[in-house]
Amino acid sequence: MHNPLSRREMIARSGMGFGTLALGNLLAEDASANRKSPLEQQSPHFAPKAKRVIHLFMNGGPSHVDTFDPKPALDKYAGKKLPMKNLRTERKTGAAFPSPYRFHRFGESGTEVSEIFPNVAQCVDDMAVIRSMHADVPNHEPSLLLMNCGAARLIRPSVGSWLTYGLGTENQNLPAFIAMCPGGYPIQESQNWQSGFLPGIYQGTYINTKHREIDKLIEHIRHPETSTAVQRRQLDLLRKLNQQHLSERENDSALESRIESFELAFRMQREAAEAFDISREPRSIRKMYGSGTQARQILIARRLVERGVRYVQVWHGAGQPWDNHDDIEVNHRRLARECDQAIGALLVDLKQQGMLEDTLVIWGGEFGRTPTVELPKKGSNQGKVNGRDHNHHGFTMWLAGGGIKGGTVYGATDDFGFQAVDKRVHVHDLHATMLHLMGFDHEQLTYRYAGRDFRLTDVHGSVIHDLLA
Amino acid sequence: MRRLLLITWLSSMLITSFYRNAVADEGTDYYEQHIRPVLVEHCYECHSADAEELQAGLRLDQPAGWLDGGDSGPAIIPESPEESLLLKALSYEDDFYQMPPDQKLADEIVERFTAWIEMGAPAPQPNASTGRGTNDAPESPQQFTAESHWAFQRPHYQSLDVAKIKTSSTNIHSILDAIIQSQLAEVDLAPSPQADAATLVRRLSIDLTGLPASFEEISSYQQNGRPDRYQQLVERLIHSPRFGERWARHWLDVARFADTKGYVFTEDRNYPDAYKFRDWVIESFNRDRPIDDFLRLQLAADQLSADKPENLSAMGFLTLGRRFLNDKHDIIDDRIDVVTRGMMGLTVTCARCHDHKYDPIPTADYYSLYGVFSNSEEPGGEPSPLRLVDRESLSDAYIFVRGNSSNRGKRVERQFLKILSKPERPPFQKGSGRLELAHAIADHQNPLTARVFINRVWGHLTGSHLVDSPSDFGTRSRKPDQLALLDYLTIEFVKRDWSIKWLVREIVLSATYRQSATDRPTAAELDPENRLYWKMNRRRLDFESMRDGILLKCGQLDQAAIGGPSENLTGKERSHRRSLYAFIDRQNLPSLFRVFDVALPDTHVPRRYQTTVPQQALFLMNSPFIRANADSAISSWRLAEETNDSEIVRGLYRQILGREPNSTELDLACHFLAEKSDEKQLRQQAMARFAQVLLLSNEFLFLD
Repeated sequence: MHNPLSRREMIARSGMGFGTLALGNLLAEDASANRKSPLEQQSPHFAPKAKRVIHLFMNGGPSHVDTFDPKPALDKYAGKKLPMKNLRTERKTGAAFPSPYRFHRFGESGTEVSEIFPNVAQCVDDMAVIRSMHADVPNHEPSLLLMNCGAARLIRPSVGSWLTYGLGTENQNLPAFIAMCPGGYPIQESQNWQSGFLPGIYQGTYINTKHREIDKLIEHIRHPETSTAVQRRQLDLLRKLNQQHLSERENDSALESRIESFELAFRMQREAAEAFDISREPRSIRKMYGSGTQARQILIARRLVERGVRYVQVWHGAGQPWDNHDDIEVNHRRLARECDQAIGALLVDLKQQGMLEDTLVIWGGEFGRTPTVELPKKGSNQGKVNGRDHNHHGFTMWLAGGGIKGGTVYGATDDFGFQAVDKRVHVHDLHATMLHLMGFDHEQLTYRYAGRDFRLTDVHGSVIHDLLA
Repeated sequence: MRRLLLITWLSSMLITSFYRNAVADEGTDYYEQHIRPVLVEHCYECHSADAEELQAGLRLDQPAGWLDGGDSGPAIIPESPEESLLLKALSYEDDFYQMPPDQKLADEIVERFTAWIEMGAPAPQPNASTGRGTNDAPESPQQFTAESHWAFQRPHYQSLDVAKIKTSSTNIHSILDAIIQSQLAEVDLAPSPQADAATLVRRLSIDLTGLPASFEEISSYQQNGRPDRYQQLVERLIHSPRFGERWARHWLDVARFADTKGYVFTEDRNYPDAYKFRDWVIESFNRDRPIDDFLRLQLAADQLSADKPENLSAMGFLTLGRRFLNDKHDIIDDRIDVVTRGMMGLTVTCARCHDHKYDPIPTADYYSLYGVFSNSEEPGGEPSPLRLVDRESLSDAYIFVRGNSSNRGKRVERQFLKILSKPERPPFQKGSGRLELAHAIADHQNPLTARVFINRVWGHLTGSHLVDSPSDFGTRSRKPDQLALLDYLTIEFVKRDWSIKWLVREIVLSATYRQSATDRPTAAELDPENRLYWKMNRRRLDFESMRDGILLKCGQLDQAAIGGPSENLTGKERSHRRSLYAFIDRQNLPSLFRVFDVALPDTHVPRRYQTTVPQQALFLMNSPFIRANADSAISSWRLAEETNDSEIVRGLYRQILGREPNSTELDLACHFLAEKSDEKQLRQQAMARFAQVLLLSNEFLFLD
């Protein structure tokens, strides 16, 4: 029998009262059923290199040959057929389409970056660029689900859900997993941060970063009429009545944690408001990130991970902004300009604060784009012949911080950037590597559901050791 | 008299013996995890029993195949990777075959093959379906028979040593109590005394109708001197139309019910008629439709009840799932899942890609059911958009090797699951076979169906299940401590025409159900999880009961009708109807539902999670919903004009918690109100804040 007082003290000390699953009954199938709260901090399988993740999601599919995978050979064939068969993608593509941008080498590593990402380019020595990513199909929906949940169609938990399930969170006063997207949802909507068969508490909390006011950012975060002092009086009375109720019922942890949840909520009102308020940042920092929505949400991301949020996903915008089937030159330049300064600032800022070493930053889309031009088709690219189709055969993502070997360029696509050919990295391999950095053996982080043990990487995935510092 | 019923019991199975077999050793685990998937994906097409034309005489789907080898000799020499031709082929060495022919496998995969061969190429012996087995081979799950597992055997009466029950200390209302108490007696535990009257009325009211009892209901019960007042109350509640609403919501969790299809590009994602399924379920429970009929109609109303179009909505059970971008295979998979887990507690979809790892469910069984659903179609339109009908021209079903629809294996019959069939197992004869499937599932001889349903009902009424994996009664499920009880209920349930009202009555009338939820330290030490039911479990209201209760207690609940189109519970124009009428968009479930653990409608939900998180508290502290209700608690009960603080406090306690406050509570509350202003509006605000405190209290949310 445990002593009720010491149990309460324990909750108070560790802030573990954030949540309590009715354990024993409800999570009997869950290997972690003996934890006191679903978000209580957990130790992974081995010492992690990264403790938190910021995933910058360029939804729609940024073109790798225009950003981080230069292909001078395309110039040779400009406007002509490639000396290889165009691989099958979503739509028909035609002649070689050289990048309209120039590439330069940066840093000690000499990693090449396109002119549209001048600020990110300054950080290449902290980045590992994977040029040999590949996925399964050239369509947004399944590719988004594959990138986020490791499965193209079936209902599976997202990476963020797996990690919060496996690790809990450091700050019980904020959601553990936050997905920010200004102006609405990306396509496939909230499935991108779904918890699948894991408890709903592991699902990402969606924040529409178009808004600036705290009550629009987080539901029910404050009472519109009652002052904090009045609400405190209310909660004091509630606490007294609940304590009396509890004292007649021996010790019951479900009753206790609900009592505690009101105190946590009360604190959360203040802490969340503060976390999302970038005006509290020094002017110099705000200036470094720049202006606009991307700057604001990327700076919020830093404030969140700084406060112990486990997984922050930052989507570029509603729908599929990077999906440039036409006018790619103008559009990619604009999109990059919207986020380049803030992303560069994020990496510098994290480094200055000593957080980069245990914060994993990921950049990429659900796939890349073809090195060949998309042929005109009614209703798809407005008859223009100046864009690129989806390309899952080969694309680029980069990782930084959190145990990543900086200055790395890993793998390669063919001469034209159509297909990953050298050291191919499937999305499952990326997931295996991410879990590894967070301290998990991806084959052992499992959840028993519907009669079998599920894992993020299903039966696939290999850790890419060459990316590790 | 009923106590004397003599019961016989088959000796319990040695479950451990097949656990041992099911869990392979490390080497075969390695094979299953790293080697077999690769073989299946890249080699089986040409080198297995399923190959259209076996290449080079080499089979890689069984140890004998690679050891004997093909035209070039043995493919694998255990512990000698360098001598193994298979590895040579995988390594793409120039002077030999390069396999698989389209592309070399990744280096790490080849390395795993090397490691595996070094281990001696361990692999489980083949089972009957894939080739020659040896007599001394360990038993695979596919070779289990019905005798291997309690849940696959038909229920039996178990003999009961009545003498063991300490009748002096207890009241035994039924065989149910006798079984529970004989088990308690074995460990020298007495059951808990009956809960007090108010607690019982609250408990029954929520369990049977999902709505909290009123102050008047509680006090009239307390004042009722009749010895059968409890039975009277049970009858009143069980015949209330709210009973169907309450129990329909439980079934909707099983049926992964929602009003939308999920993500389907730009297609209209609504199921505008989904509510008709929900209403059919309500009606079924209210009229006490026999549960076997209830299940059959959901699978084959088109053939069972064509003359009653209203019954066609039952088939929403099958048709209201997620649409997976209209991928046919995944839609069928979802239907197989909701039918087999939901109705029979079997995880058949585990056999989509390979034979079930733990249960005797071969892949062929999965595709037998696949054939049933692939030969059923949705004709749309009248008489019901929710129905399925059999296709005119039937097509054969084939195994998809490793679940891959472009890799067709052997043809399978449309037929029922092997483990639940007699050895001869005739294929389904009529059309898609869906009607025969319905009959096979809802057959009283099916050892699972009634048990699974009863276990769900028991779980809802007591807060813990007899079988603690309610949708998995397979070999990995734990045999229930009270199998005798489950079997007794099952046999009687079937005898009583599968009546849910009989079942609910049988449970709630028992002394076991009526026990107090008060903790007893000595009992808790012996059985901390209350597995033996020495007390009632304290339970928390689910979201629906909490929300409905708040609306009811604040005079806002709209109970004008039963059923009808779904309505939005959130937003400015939110409905005041009961929560089960919520419009459920499975693609973007309102965060309110997620935060309060409402069943996610993506797939079948065996039971809800129960979390306590501050987002719940924030909703109750700050939402427009709670503010409107707290205000209404004052205005609708005419407390606004009341000037005496004690009267206000008493009124709100009666209204919201159904009781009088004690003196401490009265003092605390009056003190809270004392700081209110004399100005009328501020006064009302203070009262509303107090009402809100009561709505937020643990007493309101928990059920003793």
